[in-house]
Amino acid sequence: MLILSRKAGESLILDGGIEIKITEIYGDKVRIGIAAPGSVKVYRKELYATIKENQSAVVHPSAAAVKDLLKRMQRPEESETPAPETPGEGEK
Amino acid sequence: MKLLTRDLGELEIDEKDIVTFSGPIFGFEKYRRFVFLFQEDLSEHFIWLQSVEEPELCFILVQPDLITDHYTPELPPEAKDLLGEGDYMCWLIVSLREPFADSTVNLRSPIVVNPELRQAAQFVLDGGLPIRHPLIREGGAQC
Repeated sequence: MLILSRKAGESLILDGGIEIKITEIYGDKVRIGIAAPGSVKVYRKELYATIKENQSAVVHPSAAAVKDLLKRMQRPEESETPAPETPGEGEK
Repeated sequence: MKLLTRDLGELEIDEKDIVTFSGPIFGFEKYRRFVFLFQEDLSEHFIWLQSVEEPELCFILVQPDLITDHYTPELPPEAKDLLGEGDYMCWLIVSLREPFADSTVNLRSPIVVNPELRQAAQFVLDGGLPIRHPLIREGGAQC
């Protein structure tokens, strides 16, 4: 990882077209301005990680995985016909 | 209305039960209307979050209590604007993996619901909560 020192008001240029500017330093935080073409997506890393995790969560789990989960979810007094319901009732 | 679901077949749902995501599920910004589905004979700790608009879009959620004893998420100030006044419920997204024991839950980015107003949002919390936390506690099955 390249590590550089910058002061407030100073910038970096990435790849000829993306400017990253330290606009303010206060306490333990820095405020950063980013000027980039519209095609460049910028995310806070934790948000990016959440997007990736959400995407992996909707990948259709195999029938076996869902079945395994269902099995582990069974209450001791299991009944034959699952009756789907909507939430709100019951949880509140 | 009839709803085609990914895992539970075709169901009859009441339009009143549709929850609107005033804050998006990140990465799925264009899908805002979902229903929460649970099955009576299964553990109430799990719930299916099914898109009303896209049958193949479905998340499996779990109650935090089942996963960890000390989950007290501090929601950002905009939570009240997105969800309105009232009591909120918190759910965690499950990522099923194979083998099943590798499945994880996202403690960092809960789904928070105001059941009364039928508003929901996903939040990315500050602090070091893990995005991939084991679904199954060490020491075996939990439910």
